[in-house]
Amino acid sequence: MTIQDRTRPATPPASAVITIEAVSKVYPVRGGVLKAVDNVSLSIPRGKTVGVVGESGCGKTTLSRLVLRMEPPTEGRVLFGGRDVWKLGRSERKGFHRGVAAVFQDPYSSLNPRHRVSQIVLEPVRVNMGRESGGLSRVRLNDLLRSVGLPEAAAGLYPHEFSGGQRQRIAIARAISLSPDLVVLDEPVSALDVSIRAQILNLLKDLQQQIGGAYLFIAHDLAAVRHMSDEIAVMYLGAVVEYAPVQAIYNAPKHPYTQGLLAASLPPDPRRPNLDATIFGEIPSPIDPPSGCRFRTRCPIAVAHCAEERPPLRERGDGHLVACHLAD
Amino acid sequence: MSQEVQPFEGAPIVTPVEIGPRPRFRGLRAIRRYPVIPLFIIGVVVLSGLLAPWIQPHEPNSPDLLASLEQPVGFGGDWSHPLGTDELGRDVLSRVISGARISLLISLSVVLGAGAIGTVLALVAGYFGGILDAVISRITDVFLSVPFLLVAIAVVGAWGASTQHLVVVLVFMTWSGYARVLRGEVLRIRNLEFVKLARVAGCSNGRILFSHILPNIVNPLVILATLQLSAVIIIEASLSYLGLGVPLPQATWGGMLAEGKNYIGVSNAMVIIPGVTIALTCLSINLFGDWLRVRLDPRFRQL
Repeated sequence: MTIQDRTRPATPPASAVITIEAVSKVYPVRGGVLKAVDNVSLSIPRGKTVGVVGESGCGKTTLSRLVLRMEPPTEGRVLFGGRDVWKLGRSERKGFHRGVAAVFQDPYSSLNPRHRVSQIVLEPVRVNMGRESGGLSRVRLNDLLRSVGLPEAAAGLYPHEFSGGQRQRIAIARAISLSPDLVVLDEPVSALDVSIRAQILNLLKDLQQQIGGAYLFIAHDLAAVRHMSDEIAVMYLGAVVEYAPVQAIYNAPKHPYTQGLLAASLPPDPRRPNLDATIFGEIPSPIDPPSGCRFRTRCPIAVAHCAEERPPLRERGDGHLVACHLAD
Repeated sequence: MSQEVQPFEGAPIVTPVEIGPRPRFRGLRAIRRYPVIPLFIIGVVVLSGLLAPWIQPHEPNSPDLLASLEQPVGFGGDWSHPLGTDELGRDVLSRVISGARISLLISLSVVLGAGAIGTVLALVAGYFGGILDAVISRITDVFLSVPFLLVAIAVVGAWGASTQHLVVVLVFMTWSGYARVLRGEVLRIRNLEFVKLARVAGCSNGRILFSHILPNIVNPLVILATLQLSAVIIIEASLSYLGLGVPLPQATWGGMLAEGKNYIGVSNAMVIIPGVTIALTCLSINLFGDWLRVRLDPRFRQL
């Protein structure tokens, strides 16, 4: 609470912080084009966490780069507060940078080794708040450090004096320094020791309660995504194949890929060997994806029709979207 | 310390940490931590350069034919000319001091000029990329492939030897080394996460370049600059030796070497003294640069 009150009045509730509208991102590569993100639509509700899961190379990170306005989409639009992020004026762009922050995977390269912690954490404030930031900085710095569980004395130190987990806390303090509406968490705990992952995830959850921002949580660790998310998008070869509230995904996955992912990740249970839905084979090249349904080459239940028509993402009851001809 | 290692038995064996013998003198420890000797030599050279007009015992360019080719003290000379005199009876010590001034002036100007040009071009090329990068990199390649001692000789030969010409030519021929090495470094740093996060936070290109990237290329810049500093001293000496550097009446280390070689049979001090001066100065600068590199990197900094 303290953190939010100091920067600005709470923004009026609206349906979504960021809306991704039919976005595609195509990279030219030798021998063709690579469709990293293929016609993805997603909206991140205010104050909620949307999890994105999928194997490496499925476009999760490209999606996060599009949301963060680091690259323009090839097709489609990314809307922030109802406005296309690539058509913002100067002052609106400031608003975007104030409202959106990120935490990346690698806590070592995420922090400038030449800057002190105080400089790292307060940079978004200095850059976006201009003169207003001046007197607030020190108090705010201490608040921020405390809220991520670091001592105030950390402010004067350099990043190399901290462990990976502590560095990630510094990165988080920076991300929440302006109480953003959206924090993109791109594999925030993947590079950390298993023993401190839970700490960081719980810290993120607590902070979300405090600042009321939304999270776009990208991970390949299904347990972490389940712990964090309200809604989950499962991606395969650049496209969303299933989108549903967290309970629906974990209790009643409808897409064979989701079923396979879950089967591959559940802890082994001798009483219930879960081998029927395992995914076989390798992920196909995104430069030359299979015809029709992109998952058909590895799908245990694929039929001839799957090679002909690409299944659209269709609602199958209660906000559960599935892109499969055979899902019911 | 002939303790036998006994596996599978009781408490783990803890070997006491070996501590080297304590240095007997405090001075020894300082020498280990700071480059005392190189700093001393650099200090002497810099002070000589700065204070040359006041500390040189004789006018460096005034001949005294009655006192020509005197030996240094300890080799048959006397204290009126501690390092002896040259063939025209000019005081060698005064000429070394006066030469320090000119060597420092030239090498510092060259390093500052070339470093500034190279750094700016590297930042622009590495950060903005695209056509800008292609153009700058190709120009850099061209300059790197030119044998610059030859160009320096040609240009100084064409324009006439003067200190200014020398500096301009050396800057022109040495900036490419900075541009090449630093561009790669900029390219590497530009793709690190903290630069992406800076962009996410809304930092301007200027802020990213000067607050995020520039401080992170200081290391290679310092290494290059110190190597160049000594390299430029040597090049200046080479050109002066060839008679294409600083015009003649002015004393320079390279020029002294050139004159001394004609009298090497009579007074080898005339070669040894400027030669040793050049070698010691360059070695000291390199050692100092190495120490500075470690010192500048916060990861090596011990509080």
